[in-house]
Amino acid sequence: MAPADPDRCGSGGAGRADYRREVFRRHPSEFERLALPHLDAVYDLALHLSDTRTDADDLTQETFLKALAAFRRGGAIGSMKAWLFTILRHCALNRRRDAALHPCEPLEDEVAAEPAGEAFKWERLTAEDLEAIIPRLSCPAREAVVLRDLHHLSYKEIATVLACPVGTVMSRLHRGRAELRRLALERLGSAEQRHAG
Amino acid sequence: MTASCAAVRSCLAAHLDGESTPLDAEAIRGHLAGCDRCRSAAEELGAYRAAVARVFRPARAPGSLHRAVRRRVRAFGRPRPWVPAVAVAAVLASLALALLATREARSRIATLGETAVLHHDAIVTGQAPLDVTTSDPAGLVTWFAGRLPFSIHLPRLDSPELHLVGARLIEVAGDLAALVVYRKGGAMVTLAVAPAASGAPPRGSEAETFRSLRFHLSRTRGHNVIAWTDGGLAYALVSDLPSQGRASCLVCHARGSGLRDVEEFHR
Repeated sequence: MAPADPDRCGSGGAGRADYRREVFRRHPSEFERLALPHLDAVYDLALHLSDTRTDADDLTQETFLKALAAFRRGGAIGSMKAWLFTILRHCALNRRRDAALHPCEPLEDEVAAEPAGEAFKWERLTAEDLEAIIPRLSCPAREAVVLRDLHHLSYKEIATVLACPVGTVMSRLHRGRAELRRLALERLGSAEQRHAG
Repeated sequence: MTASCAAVRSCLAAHLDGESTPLDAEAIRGHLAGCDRCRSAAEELGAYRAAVARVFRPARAPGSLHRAVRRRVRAFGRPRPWVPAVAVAAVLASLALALLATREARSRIATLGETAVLHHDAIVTGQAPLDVTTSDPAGLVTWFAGRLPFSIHLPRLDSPELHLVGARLIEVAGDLAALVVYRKGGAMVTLAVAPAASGAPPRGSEAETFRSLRFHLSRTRGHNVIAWTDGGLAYALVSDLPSQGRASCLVCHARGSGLRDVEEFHR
């Protein structure tokens, strides 16, 4: 049977008896049906992991071609979206390494302190604020926040994408949200000062 | 015993994110009901999540990127022989003309049989590729499942003469339909299957009734077409094989084909 849920695909562990059936499931048209609905999400994440839109374009294309090659060989497990994100992140890391840029190093202190200080009125947050703040988050925290709060992956899926334990996902997410809150306070505080001035 | 603030705080984000936590959800809710500080932290986290959900709109990939990815996915694995640019242009021009001619022809198509003949010709001449190539009927049924709004059943053929080759999806009067391709000897045999509403009998056809089924036999664009409806589906079989009387059944129901023996039909 073809998969009923377009977001799910097989384990790729088919035995010899299922080989022929698997060949049907691994047809490029099947990949197109399962993977291309996530193109916008992949591009959005590529933008978060790239310096320019051109890089994000290239990264997106590279991701889909690598994913298709792996899909044909029997790859892809669980959620197609998370699987594409995993490939995208590998591609992005390889590019940064090849370009001798700083990789996305893990935080020295994975456990963040509780956010403290004045309360923040989240209802004042705008799309422009979020767009300006996200790139300023530290890399591992940004990845966790983008995957969870923007793209709604589960902790387990994020752990797969980032190749780390779920506990690390939780601490990076905690750290990322605390950073985001601090940066939002700074941004809105300086905006208020400009208004007052 | 109620959960401590430290224990609740360590699970709060995961709890609000809908993840499982070491603490029971009921215990967390109970603690929040009685602890102002933890409840305040939960409310702020909730407000953060709501704000992000309100303002975040994922970037949309440009149309050019959608087209580029789709084009590269479809071209994946195809051989790319070197062809001079002039030849490429000539091929593209002839394809465009063929497409226009096909579209014009489509507008005249009224029946499943005529549609099947058009696709039969396109496959025989190599103008239309098969979507899938296989000799496995069960695998093909699986391939069609989820792509068609109806189920089809294909017999497992044991005939040394009749071989399943593959299939493609086609459109008949706005409905998706199946086109299954067989080879018998050197000849191509094509079976189109569509919802019965698409299956008006071919123009100028002769009808033969066998038991409860009425078969329409016709010549269309030089091919023999046998059309019938059964169980809410319309079928059209296109071939250059004889299609009158007993011979029409022998297209598929030859001795040793694995299907019902033709002698059962014509006792």
